[in-house]
Amino acid sequence: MESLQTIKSRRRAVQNIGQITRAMEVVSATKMRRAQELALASRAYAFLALEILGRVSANAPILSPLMAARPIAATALLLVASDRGLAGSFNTQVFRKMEELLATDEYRTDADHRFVVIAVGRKAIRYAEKRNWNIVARFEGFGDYADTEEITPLADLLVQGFVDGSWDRVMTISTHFRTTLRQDPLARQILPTDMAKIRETVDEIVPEHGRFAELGKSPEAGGRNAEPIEFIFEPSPAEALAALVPHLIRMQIYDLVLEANASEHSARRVAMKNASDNADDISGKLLIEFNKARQAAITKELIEITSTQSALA
Amino acid sequence: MKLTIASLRGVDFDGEASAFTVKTQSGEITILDHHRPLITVLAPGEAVITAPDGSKKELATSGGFLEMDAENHVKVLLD
Repeated sequence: MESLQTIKSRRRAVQNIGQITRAMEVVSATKMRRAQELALASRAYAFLALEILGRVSANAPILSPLMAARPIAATALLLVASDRGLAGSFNTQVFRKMEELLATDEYRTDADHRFVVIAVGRKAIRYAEKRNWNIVARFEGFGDYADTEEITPLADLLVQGFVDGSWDRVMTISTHFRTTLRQDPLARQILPTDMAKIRETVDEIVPEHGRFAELGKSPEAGGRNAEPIEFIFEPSPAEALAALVPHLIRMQIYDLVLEANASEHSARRVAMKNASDNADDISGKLLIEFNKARQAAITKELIEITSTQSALA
Repeated sequence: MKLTIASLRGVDFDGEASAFTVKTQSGEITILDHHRPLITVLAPGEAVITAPDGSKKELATSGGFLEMDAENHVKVLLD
């Protein structure tokens, strides 16, 4: 049996860690609530935006540059992870999805095709550097609750690179928030906008039940109309599309970052809760061990006293 | 017609309306039942929702987009 001192100091260490994790749990619980509120509030907007984008992509009389598919020589991958760690498997999940995408993508064996990475979050940057990926841009500090203005440089970079031909396809790997206990890493294509891809995205992000569940079932969701619609565009098709499409893409990226924020804080909260519970558990076990050791020492001393006494008698 | 107005802060309106008046970049328009499919860019101004019972509700817009689809559903994205 270990000495009383070692058990005592081990128990103190465990309790200290428990205190830290509990403090982190409380902090991330507040952040989680705020981030979830933001993500859920913007969801209606994001779904409508996707729906309109899908229908516009299918029915536009002229093609916006962002809708035109062309031979793909370069793909930009937007990798969204967190700035900080201690969030359970949050970052690992995203990275695993990224590896999976790189290992299965249809262009991976094409010698002329290259992947470039745009990393969001310190953890994503570090991972991409470690894997020696070609990083073209790094973003960090989107904070706990991202702002539309903060996202604009990122969205503009993606759109600009697509327009000037730096890449011919933009895919995102990020986490979609479902519930506090469940977040799914998702890979989706956002440029060029394509009705089939948007439909896939809608299918993936619409919850099975709850407030937005009916969106996935409605026949028009994600712009899945059977009949072509002849839209009137005002002021003119070119002007309307030039304003609409980049805006909708920006909103899509904004929503994606919000979802990732909500997921990160939820994951961290759950991880910290598990850690604190675990610390309580271990501390309890160490206390029992300590008491046993103390009792054993007392019993031993008593036996020594009584045996000495009987020897003297 | 069904009218859905959403902004980043949440859903501002979702329900039946008989008319929706809004300022667009090319002037003020009123959308009635079974309007032709339309996509337009909104301008800052005031929007008025007329409910089926005739009551009106006003709403400030700072810009955004409006889509009227083929199923008599108006969707408005406000900035």
